[in-house]
Amino acid sequence: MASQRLGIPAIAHEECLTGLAAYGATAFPTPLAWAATFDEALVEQMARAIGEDMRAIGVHQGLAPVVDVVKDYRWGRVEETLGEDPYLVAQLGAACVAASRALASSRRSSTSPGTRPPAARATTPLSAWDLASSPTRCCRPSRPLCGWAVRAAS
Amino acid sequence: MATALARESDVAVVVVGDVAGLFGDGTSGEGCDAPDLRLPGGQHDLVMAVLATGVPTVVVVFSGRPYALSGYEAARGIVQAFFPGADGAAAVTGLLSGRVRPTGRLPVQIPRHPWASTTYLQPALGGGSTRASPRSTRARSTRSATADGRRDR
Repeated sequence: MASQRLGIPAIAHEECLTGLAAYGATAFPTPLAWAATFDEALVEQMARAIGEDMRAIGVHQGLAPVVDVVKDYRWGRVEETLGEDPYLVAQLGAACVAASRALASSRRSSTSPGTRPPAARATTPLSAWDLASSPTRCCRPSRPLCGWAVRAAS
Repeated sequence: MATALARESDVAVVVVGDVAGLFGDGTSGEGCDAPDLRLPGGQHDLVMAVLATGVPTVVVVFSGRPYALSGYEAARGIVQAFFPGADGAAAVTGLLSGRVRPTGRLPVQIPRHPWASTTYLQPALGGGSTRASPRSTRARSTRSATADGRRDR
């Protein structure tokens, strides 16, 4: 803080999609493999472990998950996504954010000052067209969840 | 070489897929788009050559995107492992040995043709969509989208 002329604290962010991108941190499977589990609890457990890795070195913000819905398999970043189903993407993306929120709330009562909790952020947003497309409308419970995804991406 | 090894073996396990990389330094990853959905390099020919030996063959695909896997019907099994992380080797070998009974559902479709590169979310003028029929995903969206001749939007 003392070295920050205007008193604005720095926010340290790191790549953490398949685990914190740092030496010694665990490398988890790629998101397409998480998505194949259809298991929100398992994804949340993994996201929590990644968040704890970030916290251990003082990272405030993680650049994950990616909640784009795949439209073309040729894209190089398909591996970073949770696949082509907006409902599944929203469910598992929400699980990641739930893990970050849980860590954030436990941070508030912790003792080490001067750092902020890691916050989930989508690196690239769902387009309005993705969200408005018929597959999303057909999945009834997906409306509020996809709404959440938009907020996370903004 | 691979076919000679296969002929001497009870079972052949052919492992194919991507090299993870960035900006042209691999076959999958940011900046590593693919022109089509053929397995990179000569891997498709490798799989076909081993299958042609008649030895029971399992194909394992470590990839960052789905690839066109048609023509592999003679394989006893195809494992789509994506990139499985630090513990992936133990997980996949457990699956191949029978130690693990796998469950999973594909979050992407497996295309039949290398040029069928778009999903059911393709633009209205994006062309046809002919897919392989993966057992673990019902091609629900594609079918319902095109059965009546209209686009799904």
